[in-house]
Amino acid sequence: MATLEDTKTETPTESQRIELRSFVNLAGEPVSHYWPMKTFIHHNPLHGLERLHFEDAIKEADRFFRGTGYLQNKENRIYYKQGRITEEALNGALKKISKEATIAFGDEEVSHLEFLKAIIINGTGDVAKDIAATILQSSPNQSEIKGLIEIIQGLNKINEKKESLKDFANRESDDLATKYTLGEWCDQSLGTTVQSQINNEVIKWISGFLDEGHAHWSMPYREKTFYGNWKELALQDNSGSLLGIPDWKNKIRNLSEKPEDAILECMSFMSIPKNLWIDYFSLHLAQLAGWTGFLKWRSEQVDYEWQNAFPIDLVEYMAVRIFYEKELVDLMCRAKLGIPGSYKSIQAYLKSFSMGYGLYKDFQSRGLPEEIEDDMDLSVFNQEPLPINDLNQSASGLSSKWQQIRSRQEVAVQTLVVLHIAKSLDLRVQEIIKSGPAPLEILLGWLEEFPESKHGPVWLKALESSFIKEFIKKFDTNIEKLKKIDASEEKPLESRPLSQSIFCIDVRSECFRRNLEEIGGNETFGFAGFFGVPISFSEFSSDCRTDQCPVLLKPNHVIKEIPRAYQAKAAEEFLEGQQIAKAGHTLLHDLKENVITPYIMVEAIGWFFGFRLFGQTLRPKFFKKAISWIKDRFTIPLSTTLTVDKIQKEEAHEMVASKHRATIYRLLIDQYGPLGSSVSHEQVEHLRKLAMDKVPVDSPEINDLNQLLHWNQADLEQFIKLLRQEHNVNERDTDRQMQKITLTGFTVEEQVNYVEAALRILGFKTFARLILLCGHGSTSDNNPFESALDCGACGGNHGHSNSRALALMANKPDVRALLAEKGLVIPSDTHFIPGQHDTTTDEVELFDLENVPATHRKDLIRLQRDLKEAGEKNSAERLARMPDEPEMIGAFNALSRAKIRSIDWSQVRPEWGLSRHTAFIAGRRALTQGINLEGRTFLHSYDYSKDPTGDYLEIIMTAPMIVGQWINMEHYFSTVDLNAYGAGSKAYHNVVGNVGVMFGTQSDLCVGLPIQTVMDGEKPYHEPMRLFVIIESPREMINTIISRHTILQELTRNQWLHIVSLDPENMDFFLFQYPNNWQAIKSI
Amino acid sequence: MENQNFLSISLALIPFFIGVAGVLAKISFSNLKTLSLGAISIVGVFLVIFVDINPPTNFLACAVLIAGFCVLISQDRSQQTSEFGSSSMITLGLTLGTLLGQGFVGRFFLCLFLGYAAFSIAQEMRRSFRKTLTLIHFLFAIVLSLSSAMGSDSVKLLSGFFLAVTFLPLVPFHLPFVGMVENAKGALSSLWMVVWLAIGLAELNLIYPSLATDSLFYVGFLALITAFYAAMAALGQKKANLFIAAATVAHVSVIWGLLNIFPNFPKWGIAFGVAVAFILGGINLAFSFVRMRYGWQSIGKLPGLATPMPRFGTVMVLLVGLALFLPMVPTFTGLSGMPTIETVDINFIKIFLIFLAVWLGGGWFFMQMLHQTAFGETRTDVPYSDLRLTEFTAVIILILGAGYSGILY
Repeated sequence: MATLEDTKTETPTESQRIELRSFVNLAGEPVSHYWPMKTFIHHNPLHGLERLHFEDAIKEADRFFRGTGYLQNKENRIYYKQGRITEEALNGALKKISKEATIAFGDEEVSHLEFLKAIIINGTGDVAKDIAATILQSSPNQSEIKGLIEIIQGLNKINEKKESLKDFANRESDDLATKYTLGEWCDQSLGTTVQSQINNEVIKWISGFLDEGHAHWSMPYREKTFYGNWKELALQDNSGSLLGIPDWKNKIRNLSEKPEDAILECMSFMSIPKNLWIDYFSLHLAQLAGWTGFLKWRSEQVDYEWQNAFPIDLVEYMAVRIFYEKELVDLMCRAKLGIPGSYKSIQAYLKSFSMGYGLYKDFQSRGLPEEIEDDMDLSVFNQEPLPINDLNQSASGLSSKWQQIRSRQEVAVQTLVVLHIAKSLDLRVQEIIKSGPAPLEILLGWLEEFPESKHGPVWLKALESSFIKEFIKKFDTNIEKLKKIDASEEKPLESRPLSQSIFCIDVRSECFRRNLEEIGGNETFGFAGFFGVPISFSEFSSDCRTDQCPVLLKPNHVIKEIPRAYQAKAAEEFLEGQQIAKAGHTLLHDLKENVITPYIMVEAIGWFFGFRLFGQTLRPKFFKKAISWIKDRFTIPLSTTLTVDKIQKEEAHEMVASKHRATIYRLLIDQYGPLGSSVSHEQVEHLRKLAMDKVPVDSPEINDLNQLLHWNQADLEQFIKLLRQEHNVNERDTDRQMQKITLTGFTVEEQVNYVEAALRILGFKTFARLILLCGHGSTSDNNPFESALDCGACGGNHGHSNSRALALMANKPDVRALLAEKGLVIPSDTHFIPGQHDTTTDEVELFDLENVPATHRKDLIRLQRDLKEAGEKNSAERLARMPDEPEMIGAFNALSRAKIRSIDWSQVRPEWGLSRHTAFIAGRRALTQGINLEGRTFLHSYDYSKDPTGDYLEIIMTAPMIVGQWINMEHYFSTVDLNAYGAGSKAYHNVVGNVGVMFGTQSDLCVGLPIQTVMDGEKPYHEPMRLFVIIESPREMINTIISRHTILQELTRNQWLHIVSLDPENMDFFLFQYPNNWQAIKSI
Repeated sequence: MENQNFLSISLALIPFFIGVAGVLAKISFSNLKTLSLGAISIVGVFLVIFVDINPPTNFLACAVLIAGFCVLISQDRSQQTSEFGSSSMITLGLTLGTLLGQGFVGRFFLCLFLGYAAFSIAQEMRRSFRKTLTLIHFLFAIVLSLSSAMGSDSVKLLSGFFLAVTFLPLVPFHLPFVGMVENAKGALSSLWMVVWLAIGLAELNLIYPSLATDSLFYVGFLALITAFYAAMAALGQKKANLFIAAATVAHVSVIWGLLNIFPNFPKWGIAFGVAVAFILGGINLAFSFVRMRYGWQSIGKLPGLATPMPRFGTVMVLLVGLALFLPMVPTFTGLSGMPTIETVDINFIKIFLIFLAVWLGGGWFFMQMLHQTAFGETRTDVPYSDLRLTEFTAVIILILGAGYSGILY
């Protein structure tokens, strides 16, 4: 069998192509999916590495994405000084890695733990080699320093670590194609810009190809797939020639038609060993992890219209990318080194000229020591190709001098380190000198084992430990109360609350709930914002549907928003108005984007846009009001409802038949006038059945019809053909219509199940007269990240459709009757009302108010008043956390200030969103009630006593908790590395292709959250730590659930989150440790 | 008159003797610094109030004292040696003697100055062909300075011209200047720059009335070559001191180029020369602080300093900002004293090209240098410490001095 490497001359076989495809797809695993930003999905940027332990995944991600996985040590030190990281927690974290060992310097003894603590708090004192000697010279006590230097010079560790010029080549030989691509090697070693050239070319092609309606002139030939499209267009594009690639057009023309073959050809040319291919492809895919994440997501969407129209996958992407690399690397290697650009030739070069290359690399990277530079003609380093033979000769002569200088520098570095450690540990330098080399050798060994790059995990553990210990203290009072309630010493109040409100588990709802409860008489619950009803929602007059559920689920039910029956006329007018508005908008858009018209348009109506410019900039609130007032004058008020009921098959069938009959009547009247209208209903029905092939042609009704319309057989056949082909009266259309109709809504049984599940998970005991189902969404202007502020549980959309759907179900008498049969009795005077909390403005909009019984008028008014008051308080609380808000003293209209933030188009931070979240609590409200959790906690209502089998907890742990973990990881990584995992600053963002944002005109898609979301100036606003999931439930039950789900095992085993049980038996907190151990929080 | 000459020489001898005493008596730097700063202040006051010499010389002497003051005040008492203080004061004394001394006395001081500089070069510079050439140049300069005191008028003019192009360096007479800037230790390099240019300006001021239009025409061509050569050298130069030396030579070429365009050299030329000396000396001084901390020599090896060292970033932005406007100084001051006659000839083309090289080149190399020092990605393996208040103040004084000289004087 031919191997993949034997493809130079032969056409690859199908099995080789399949193998290659699998390699590329495997290589794509570390790259996380990226959803189009119109439905921003918070996700773990290292989701593809969750199979690894958290710390290992960070190391792997560093290799691929060049990202930092931990908060900088200096930030952690600030936390330590502020007390956010306690000494106890730091000791605890260090104990896990410390040894039972001590070193004696005279009378002073230093334990390993003390040493670790000293260097983690004060740093190692490590400095760059090239500056160490100067710093040392300016240090006081030169005599002590001299003594120390003498000892350090004699240490084995120093002599073992001696650098050699050959080290550069040896290191790079090992790392080539495993840690970096050939293109990256060229950039690092030869000072070229191959990577950016490849990236710029690839971004140019891919951003055009992946455009989803944003471009005014869309890319041609996209139906030919990405690779085909590129081949077609690259022939007409001279950028390859401009990059210096010789014979560009012929090379493109001669490329294989199949992308797999092109990759195989390039890999063969570059002679990358096959065992490195997967890693090599990963390195390439990670170069533009945003774009590849998006196309990875898109290529997996089987029913995504853009993907179906313009297919693309990782293999096609790789084919284009690797072609550029092959050409550019070859070009650069030949120009700079005089060798072909292949793995083998580079390896051979590094091996043959290791000394000369070392000299060249040292000059390129940190600069040669001045003593060496003075002895050399530095212009040789700029010659092309590099005179490597001469350099090799020079290097041989200079090698020992170079080594001596570097060794001296290393000694200076180590001396500074020892001085720094001595200061940190309060040791006298004289004692260190007197103690001789042995203890110093051990000390430097310890240091080598725990360099600054390894401090991150320890700080993280200490931060988490400090947090959780402090956090659980907040619940002491409530736990005491719960203990009494559980022991029946104290009865909870069982009177009916004035209202009950079910909010999303989102951290922003926590503050709102607290404020609403504090007003009095209102009980609140937390539930995933899609209310457990996964739907595909179609808004009235909108062409597209949104999936209103977490991305982990796939909705099977369509819910449509339709006008209420009595508003049929108004709906027609509404649609007409909307069509006119749409036409006007299209016209304006075309005029703006046309090549010629803008010249005239600017003169004619350019001034008109000035109103918007000045209004929105200078007086945003007034402008918004004015626009709303104008819009209200033209908008037809329309009341809508949702199609929650599934239509029975018979009824659906009759609906389709009725539509077909109407079509036949219209056609008959159009063709025969009054004669057509005299055709009987039976005859029309017969015609319909005839079109459906359901009755024979020679029936009595048809004969009568033939007589009536003076038809012969041919006329009849012609009419039937017309019905089938032109007017879709056929079996196929019927099936299609039936499918559409029957997808819509839920059966009564399904409705009962959804309502029951929601109410039981939440642990409802009593039912108020009004129960608010409150979804959430956000409003902001000029914000591509707007959907990141919407409901994550609703797939990054507003949540009102789900709340409306569940409220409609729960208010239905037949649903309630069936629920009562199941033992869940909802009082007849209880009414569910849907609403939506705008998390930016803190306004709550209520829906379907027509359905509220007249008897509930006063309850409704009271609820509306309470919601407004809670919103005002919540806004005041939130605004105090905004760094750009002036200090609000006395009475001020917080709602108004919050509103301004939502409509100000220059506002980069309309709200903090989910930043600063730390924990997810699933438990009774009594556990958290009255505690100010500062909007940092996801709150899911859950009563373990009502869930003996753990079914409801299983739902919580496998859906909302996972979404919480994704949100948490996205915030974590965006904070610790804004560039690799975050999205940088919003100020430079540029929307591209309606799929995401990038910097300027060419960059990777920004995958994470912007700086304005996670940072407060230079300081992190979000405290990056892994999510603590606190579950009020027996530990055994949690064990059982974890053991049932691989995803939960993976997350807990690899420490991507922490699960804490509040065990109802003793009301103590325990931390889960894989596989099934629990450690009391107090003892960690 | 004789009293005035005696007073001037006495003033010059004060710093000189302090410097010599520092060497002989091994006075600690701390004491020497206090003594020196006091002496500089007293000499300055006397110069301004009691000494009656021509204004350009007085101005140059004050500029030299300010430079000395700034260099000394910026040095940390605990980190600097007395050798540094002595060397600064000796240099200062010899320069003042050269500037203020009349006739033979002045030439005598100049010989001492050149001898001291040659001695420093012989000690510090590595053995090379360039070193030999530099020392021969020094020898020539010493001989010519003596002959200028005793020779005929034409000898005086010739030797004066040689000294002027040595101290206000034009290619190929720039080697001693570059050698001094390159090899002087730490902040001394900045002082050497100012004193060197000050002597050059004084020399040019002496011979300027005697320079014939024809000779100025050829000097203009030399200035043009110097402008292009030095601008290119500055662009390609990575070593901080050599970069400053090249940038200075490029700017000095403007003075020579403008000589036969604008009349009244003392008015525009000295003001511009002192502004150049202060700005480039300021950059050199700021660099010396970084060099003292981190042993930094090559531009580009320590980028992004403005973030961890905001004071350094501030002074660098101010210095480069002013440096970019330097060619405006002689233009406007020169134009203000220019008689309204038509002078549109080849000289204008020449000066246009000099401006092109110096201004455009300066815009390029100064910005590049700024981007490679103050901006860019900060290295994380360096324990940064910002400029101390005294260091910051010293550079700010030089900036203010340059502003005064260039705009107000």
